[in-house]
Amino acid sequence: MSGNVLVVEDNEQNLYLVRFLLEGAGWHVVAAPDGPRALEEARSGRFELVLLDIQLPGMDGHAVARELRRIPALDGVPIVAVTSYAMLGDRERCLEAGCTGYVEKPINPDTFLDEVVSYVRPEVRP
Amino acid sequence: MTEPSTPPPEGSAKVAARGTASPGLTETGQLRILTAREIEAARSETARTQEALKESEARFRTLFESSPDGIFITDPETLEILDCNTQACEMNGYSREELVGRSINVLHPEEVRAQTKGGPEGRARFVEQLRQRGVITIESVHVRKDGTAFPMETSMCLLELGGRDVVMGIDRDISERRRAEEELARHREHLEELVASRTAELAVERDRAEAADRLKSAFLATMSHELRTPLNSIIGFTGVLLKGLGGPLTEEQSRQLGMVKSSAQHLLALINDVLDLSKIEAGQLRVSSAPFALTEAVEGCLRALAPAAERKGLSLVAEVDPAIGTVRSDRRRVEQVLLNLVSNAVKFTETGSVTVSAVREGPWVVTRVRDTGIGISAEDLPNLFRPFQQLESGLTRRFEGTGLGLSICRRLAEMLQGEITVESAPGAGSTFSFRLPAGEAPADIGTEGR
Repeated sequence: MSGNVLVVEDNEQNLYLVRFLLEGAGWHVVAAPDGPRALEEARSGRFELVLLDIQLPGMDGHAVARELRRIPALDGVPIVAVTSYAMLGDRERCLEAGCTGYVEKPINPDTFLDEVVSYVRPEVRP
Repeated sequence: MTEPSTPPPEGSAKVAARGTASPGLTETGQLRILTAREIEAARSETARTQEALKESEARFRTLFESSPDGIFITDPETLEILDCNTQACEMNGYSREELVGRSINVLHPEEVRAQTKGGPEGRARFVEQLRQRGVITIESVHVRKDGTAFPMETSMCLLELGGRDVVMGIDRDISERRRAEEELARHREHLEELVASRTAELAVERDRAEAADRLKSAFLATMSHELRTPLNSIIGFTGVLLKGLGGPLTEEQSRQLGMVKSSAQHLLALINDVLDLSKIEAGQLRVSSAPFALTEAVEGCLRALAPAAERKGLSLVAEVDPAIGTVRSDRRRVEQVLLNLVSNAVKFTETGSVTVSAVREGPWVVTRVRDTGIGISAEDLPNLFRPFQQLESGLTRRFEGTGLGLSICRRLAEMLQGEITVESAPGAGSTFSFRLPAGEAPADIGTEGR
C-alpha cells in the first residue's frame, strides 16, 4: 500500500480541485505542470497512478503518454487521460498513445474518485 | 492551238478514220470513191465541227479570263507555264509575257521549290495522283515579282490539251483567310490566357479560404479549451462544496451553490453546442461510419433520460423492431441526435408518455420520438430547426436549453446522409422522425463533413 499519484495538469485551479479530491481519499499527490517535468518526476519517483491532462502547453498529452510508457518504473501503472468533450476522437488517440483510460472534463466530484480508482489494482489503492 | 485548226486533207484517211459513219468509208471500213455531193457534205460537217470547237474555245477563254482566281496551265513534266489568265498575272505582279514559257517555280520560294524537285519520277507520280483523284487542293506560298510573298490555295486538275496532259491550277489568294485564322488563334490564345489567369486567381482565393478555414479551426480549438478550463474548476469546486467536502453548508448556501452549478452546466452546454455548430458550419466536424446496433443506442439514450422522465411522472417507452439489426453510421453522433430529441420530448411533455420507435422503411431506418406534450404551432414549425429559436419564441424561461439542439440535430442528420422531420399540432404532441440510410452507406462518409 502506498498510493502515490502523479497529476500532470497546467491549470492551477484544476490541479487544486484534483489534489483536493485525491488527498481527501488518502492519495499522495505529486504535481507536474507540463510534459518534461512529468517525465522527470516519473523517472525519479514511484507511482501507482498517473492522471494526465491532454491539453498541455508545449508537448501535448499524447506525446507525454508515449514517453511515459517508455519508463520501466511505470510498467503496469495506469495512465488516465483527462479529456474534455471538445476533443472527440482524442479519446481513441489517448488509448493509442498508451493511456489506460480516460475521464471527462469537467470533473464531476460525485463520480471522479470512483472512476479514477477503478483503473488501479485494489491492493495498491490507499 | 490544236489539231482541228489545220484544214483536213480532202477525203483523207485521217478524217475517214474518225468514225464508221464517215463519208469516205463503207460500212465494213473499205475505201470508196465519194461523190461531189458527198465531199461537199463532209466539208460542211467539218466546218460545223470547227465552228463548235471555236465556240467552245471562246467560251473557255471567257471563263478563263473572267475568273476571279488566277489560273495557270502548266506542263507537268517541265513545269513550264503554257498559259495563264489576267488574274494570275495581277496576283503575282508579272505580265503574261514574263510568265508564259518560264517554269512555275519562278513563283515559288526556295522551300517550296525544294519540294517540287521530286524529278521526273516525282512529277509523273503527281500526274498519276491527279488522274486518280481528279482534283488536288494544296496550300502554298507564291512570291510576287516585287519579292513579297502571299499564301495561296491552289486546286489542280488534269486537262487534255492537244493530245497531252497539262495541269490546270486555280490559285486563290488566302491572305484574308489566314489573317482571320490568325486573328481567331490570337483570340483563342487570349481566351486561354484569360482562363489561366482566372484559374490562378481562383487558386489564390481558394488558398486564402483554406487558410481562413485553418485559422477558424485553430480558433475553435483554442476557444473550446480556453472557455472550458475555467468552467471545469467552477463546476468542479461547486460540486465539491455541495458535497460538503469543503465543510458543512447552511441550507441557503446549498441552494445558492445549486444555482451556480446549474448555471455553469447551462453555460457549458451552450459552449458545447456553439462549438459544435461552428464546427459544422466550418466543415470541421468529422463523422465516422461503422456498423452498430441501433437498439443499443436507443436503450442507452432511454437509460440516460429515465431519471428525468421519472421525476415528471412520464412513461418512457421503446418500440424497436428487432429486425433492424445493425446500422452503418457514426454511433456517437446518432446517440447525440437521439439524446437531444428524447430530452426535448421529456422537457416539453407534462403528462403522458414519450415513445421511441425504430423501423425499416424502404431505403431508411426511421427512429421516431413521439410525445404527448404541448405540441408546436403551425407558424413555429418552419423555424423549429433554426438556431436559438426557443429564445425567440417566448418559451425561454419556461424551458431551459440552449436553443441550438434541433439545428445541430438537423445538421448532424444531414452529415449522416439522413434527415429529421417533424409532425405536430398544439396540444396534440409531436413526432420527430430521424431517418438514416438503411443500406451500406458510402465508404467515404467518414472524411470531411462537406
